[in-house]
Amino acid sequence: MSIVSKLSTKINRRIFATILGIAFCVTYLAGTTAMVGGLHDTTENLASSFDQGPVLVYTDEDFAVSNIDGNLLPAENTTFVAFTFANVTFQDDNGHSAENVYIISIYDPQDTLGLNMTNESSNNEIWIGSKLSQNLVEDEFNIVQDQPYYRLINDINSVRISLHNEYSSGSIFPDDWLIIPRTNMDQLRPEMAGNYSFIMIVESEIPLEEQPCCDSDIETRQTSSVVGFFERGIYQVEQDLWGIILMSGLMTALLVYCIIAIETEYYAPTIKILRGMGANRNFVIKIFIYKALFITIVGGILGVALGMCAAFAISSISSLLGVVSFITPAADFNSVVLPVIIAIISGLIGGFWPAIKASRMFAVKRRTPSIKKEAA
Amino acid sequence: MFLLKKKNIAGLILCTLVLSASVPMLLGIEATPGSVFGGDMVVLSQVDSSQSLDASLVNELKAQPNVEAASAEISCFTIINNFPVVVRGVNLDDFLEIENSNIIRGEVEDQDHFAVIGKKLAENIGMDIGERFLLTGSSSPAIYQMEIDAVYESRYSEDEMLVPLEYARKMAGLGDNSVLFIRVRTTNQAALVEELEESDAPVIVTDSAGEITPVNSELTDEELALQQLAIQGMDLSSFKDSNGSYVSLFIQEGTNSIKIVVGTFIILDGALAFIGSAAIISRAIIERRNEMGIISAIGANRNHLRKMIIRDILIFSTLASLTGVILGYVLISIIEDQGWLLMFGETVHPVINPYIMGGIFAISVIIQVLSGLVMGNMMTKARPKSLMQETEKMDREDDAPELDEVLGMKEPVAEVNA
Repeated sequence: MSIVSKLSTKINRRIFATILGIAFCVTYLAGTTAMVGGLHDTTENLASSFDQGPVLVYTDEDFAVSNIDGNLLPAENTTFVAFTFANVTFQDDNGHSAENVYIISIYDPQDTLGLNMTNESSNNEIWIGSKLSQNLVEDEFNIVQDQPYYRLINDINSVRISLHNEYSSGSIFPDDWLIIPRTNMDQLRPEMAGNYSFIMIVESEIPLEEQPCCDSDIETRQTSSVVGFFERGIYQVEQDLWGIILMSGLMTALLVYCIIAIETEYYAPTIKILRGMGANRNFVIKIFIYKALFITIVGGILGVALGMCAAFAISSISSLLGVVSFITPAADFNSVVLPVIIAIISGLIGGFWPAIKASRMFAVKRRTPSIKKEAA
Repeated sequence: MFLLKKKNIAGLILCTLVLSASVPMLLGIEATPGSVFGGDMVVLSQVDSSQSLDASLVNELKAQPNVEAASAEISCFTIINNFPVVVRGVNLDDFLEIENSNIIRGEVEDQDHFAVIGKKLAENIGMDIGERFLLTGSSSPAIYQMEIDAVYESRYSEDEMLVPLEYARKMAGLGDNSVLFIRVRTTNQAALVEELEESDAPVIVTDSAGEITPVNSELTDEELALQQLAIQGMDLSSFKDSNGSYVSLFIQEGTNSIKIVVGTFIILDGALAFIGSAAIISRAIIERRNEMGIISAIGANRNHLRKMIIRDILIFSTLASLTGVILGYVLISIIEDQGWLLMFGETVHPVINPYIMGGIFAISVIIQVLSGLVMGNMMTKARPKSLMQETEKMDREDDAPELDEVLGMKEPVAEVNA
């Protein structure tokens, strides 16, 4: 065994106590990471088993801006509905108008919505949502059916329409929209000819990512978002772990700094002999940096083991106390390897300055007698 | 004159900082579920999913002399702009009254169709008045295209999106007139419970401290255990079969779970501060061994040395704790202001008050003095004689000729000079 490894791995009571201290810091980090990892896994399992409803495919959350190429509609064996959306001004023949009325045309090849919109270009009926109808009546509009009485205006484009049917709130989309034929939509939004604002994929044998419409520019969203909420919530909690990492890293660095500073005090005679025998400053630095590494690696490994035990203990004790525990701690890279890496980095940072000081110490002391004698 | 070096105060400040920055944050995390569902108010929630809570109960409650304000609400969990967001279905006027909050920008023209965004949420997700967004369902599928009408500020959570109750009902899959909970600001909770008992409506009353009072409900321990088991196994169908109400269960169990986790973390923080303080004090004592040896040589005994160390540590820890608490306050204020700590879409608001900060100061001083006592006791166990001998030994080493000189490889320095 070389002198460096012998000196840097020598254990005394102080080193042992420091290893325990570092183990405690790493326990804190590893245990928390394992708990958060467990929460992540639980949410992922839930997400995969929970029916989150049909999937929406779009390019922008503002459907009036979203645009999906009509040539990229889903492949066969997929139940889908495609929508073209516009935000218009609704006006009656008396010049009475309502801003921000949402209109859509629907292409529903398998009549999933039950509105008989299987051929969007040939269906000429206009359906008004019950809520929209109610709102317009409250705004003193005269809602009459089958009369060419109303006008829809989108920028410079407008179209005259009649209302034919009313739909209620039972369907997936809101009842304050107006469903119009595609021919009318093309008049209002000619730039969307052949394209769609968003697609709703109800059922498919083909994975979503393999659908032709799902290229890199699109966004997807389940129509039931509670699981997605918790998934993203967990990502936020994972991001918050920096606080724990910072705290335990700081403490580890502080512990290593203190112990290496103490060790350099006690090792002063040894350093002196080594320097006298020709060891340069780098050699001394190496001894103390290796010592810092040794302490943090041993403390880190011990801490990870203790952290796992602590995480499982908290989870079990919660259940024993009659408190619902959603978390089964997870052993993964973040909870096993990352805490050790953080401990090592902190150890190197904490040990660096005392190691430098130790390498300088003897140089100063060696000159002291000469200077004294020179002065004399 | 101090025996220990003053620079050690810096390390002790760091140990206090760990406590003063993390404890208010942890207490803030503990308070988050409460602030979402109740704040400092009483919450009435449904006993189980088979017994809906009718929004019309709000009018009955408002008629009671002990009720200052009441708001029927539905909490939905969804995603906006790829952020997890709590969407709250409300009657806007009731919400603003109970929260003592107000619209700071924009206006709501139609009480049946609006989207009002919280000030903090608007900052976090980068959205403002006039912007359109996609709102999907929470536990039930739904699609809404919404436009932000206004921005509100509030006492509790400004991380939410307010929408009409009707929209939230569809998002949560609730029937007509049903709500998930009613928040009540009351001057007399006991009178409120008595009034509710007379109305025969089965509800769970939860106060601001998390105390649960079932009213007109006969939920047995077995039924509660069944619900807990179902939610623990993430078995939503079993949970629904057990007529579980996720709001009341979330308030009870969520708060309890977080209490355990937060309590554990605060203890761990204290232990971290103790370990750090002990390491700094050990180092501070060891680097003064020579001086301790000299003091021993001129007659100081162990008790005298220990007294000197404790006096220094008491002064150092008072200064360090005060500075650490002030620095911690500044740090958590910055973190809160910047919204760096988010949990499930909610900004964590640290709990800062004079009692907590004073408590942290006191605990920090106690921890540091205790670690000083432990370390001081251990370090002064060495007999004064051995301390002296150690000092003499080191002095001899310093005065000793260099190894090269002893080996005859180099002329002695003094001779060269001569």
